[in-house]
Amino acid sequence: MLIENEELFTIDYMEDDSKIILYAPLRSYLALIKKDISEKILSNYNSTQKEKFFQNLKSRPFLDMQNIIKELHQTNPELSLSITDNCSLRCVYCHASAGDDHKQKTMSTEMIDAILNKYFEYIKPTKVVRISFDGGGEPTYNYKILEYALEKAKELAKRKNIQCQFSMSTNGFYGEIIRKIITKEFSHISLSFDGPAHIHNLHRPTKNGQGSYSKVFETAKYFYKSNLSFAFRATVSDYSLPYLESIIDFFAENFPSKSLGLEHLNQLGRANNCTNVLPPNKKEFANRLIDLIKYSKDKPITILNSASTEYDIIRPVFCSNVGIPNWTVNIDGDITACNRDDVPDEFIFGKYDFQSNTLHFYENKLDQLKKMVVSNYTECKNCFCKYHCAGDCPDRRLTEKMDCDSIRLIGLSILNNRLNNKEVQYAQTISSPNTRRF
Amino acid sequence: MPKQLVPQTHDVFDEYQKKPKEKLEFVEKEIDMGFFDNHYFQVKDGVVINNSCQRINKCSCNCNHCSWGVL
Repeated sequence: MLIENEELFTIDYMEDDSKIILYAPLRSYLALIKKDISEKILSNYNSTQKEKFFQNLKSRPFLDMQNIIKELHQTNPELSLSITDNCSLRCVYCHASAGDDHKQKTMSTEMIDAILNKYFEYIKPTKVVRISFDGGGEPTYNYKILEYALEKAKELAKRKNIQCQFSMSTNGFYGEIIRKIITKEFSHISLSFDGPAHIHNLHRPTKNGQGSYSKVFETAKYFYKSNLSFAFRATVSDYSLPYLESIIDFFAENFPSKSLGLEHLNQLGRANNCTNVLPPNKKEFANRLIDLIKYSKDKPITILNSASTEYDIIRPVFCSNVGIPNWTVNIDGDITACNRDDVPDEFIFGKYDFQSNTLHFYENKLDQLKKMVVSNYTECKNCFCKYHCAGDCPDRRLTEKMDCDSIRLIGLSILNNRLNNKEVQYAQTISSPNTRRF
Repeated sequence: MPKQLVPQTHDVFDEYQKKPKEKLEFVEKEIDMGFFDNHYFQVKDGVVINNSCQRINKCSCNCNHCSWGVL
């Protein structure tokens, strides 16, 4: 809420209900105060406490969100290429239904040339560009095409004295040839690995219904020994939810010092027709995550969830994909700001023309994307999380899949613990920005 | 070269830290959240550090983007 021209939020203090937390994110300020005093501060009437409180608050520096937005708009976009929608696995919950009969396409070299030529023509002088391979299919499925894209990008970058940083989400189901390409060319990898064999094989079978665990484990060991910068991502289902501790032990024992992202399954794509593995209860998942942070405290593994990473930063816009906006070119030639599946039309701001082999952009759509910032969301106006979740993923907003209750539940816990100086691995981990994200 | 998107408050906050402050006796505890020293959408060598999707407790689509946050 806005008081004395300051954004100030009240948050329940869980240890003593006679007290309350006052939170001013734009002043980087959190305070514990008795409820009766807070009522004076928040009231429309003047009082000594109110005057002193706001005098103190206003003396602190102010974080200008509009300035961040303005500068984001001047930054080079990142490029994401969905080079295939095919896959070597048939994960039961695959959000993209990769490899199904209608998902077996791969980009041509002509299309890759056109996209990369346009991208390098568009960008401003810089040292580094980041190019990722995402989109639901397994980028290594046709590794010759992947190699072609890597070489073409490096060639174009070299002409402008730019270095390419490649990143990718991958299933790890391949042998030494592809493992070598990855360790040589990629800066960052997210490896999908759901844990011990009984979980991983149930979640992530091959095309023939066989388990993929052994080969993925070998890949993970290869990456680990190669010192590749990679992290694990495990999807949690109703089946694996009771095994979260053993999943953590598994990664801590086999891959000490690595990070593990735990995210819950959602019923999308192939998961719509899957009956033996279902999404876990979302609130139960959030509560279990909080317990897991304590469980993993002394273990050589960093446990994170996308909910846990946002309480050391504040932001005016959910992601740089929308904030810049970035370029994602999908297999059908749409140029979008987001590489989530089936993004709504609002995100599509250009098109690759298969006939003319050229790219076209819609400036009015780009302008609309740039308006997707939290200050434009009236329903977020009085929420203490507004500069942390930034109104949440714009795609989820448009598709009405927001989950404000879970965001506030975790936010409440993190801010309470921060105030109590309790060791919270969320906060400890995220206090090192250079290790948190690349 | 695009500008670095580090917070614009570094110097201001250093100055603020040095100034004497009145302790508010009715405030039981105060915490600086560290936002002035932290980075959001920081640009390094021309690319945004906190790139891509930054979903909060929603990642359910298994698109892997949330895992970028753990690297």
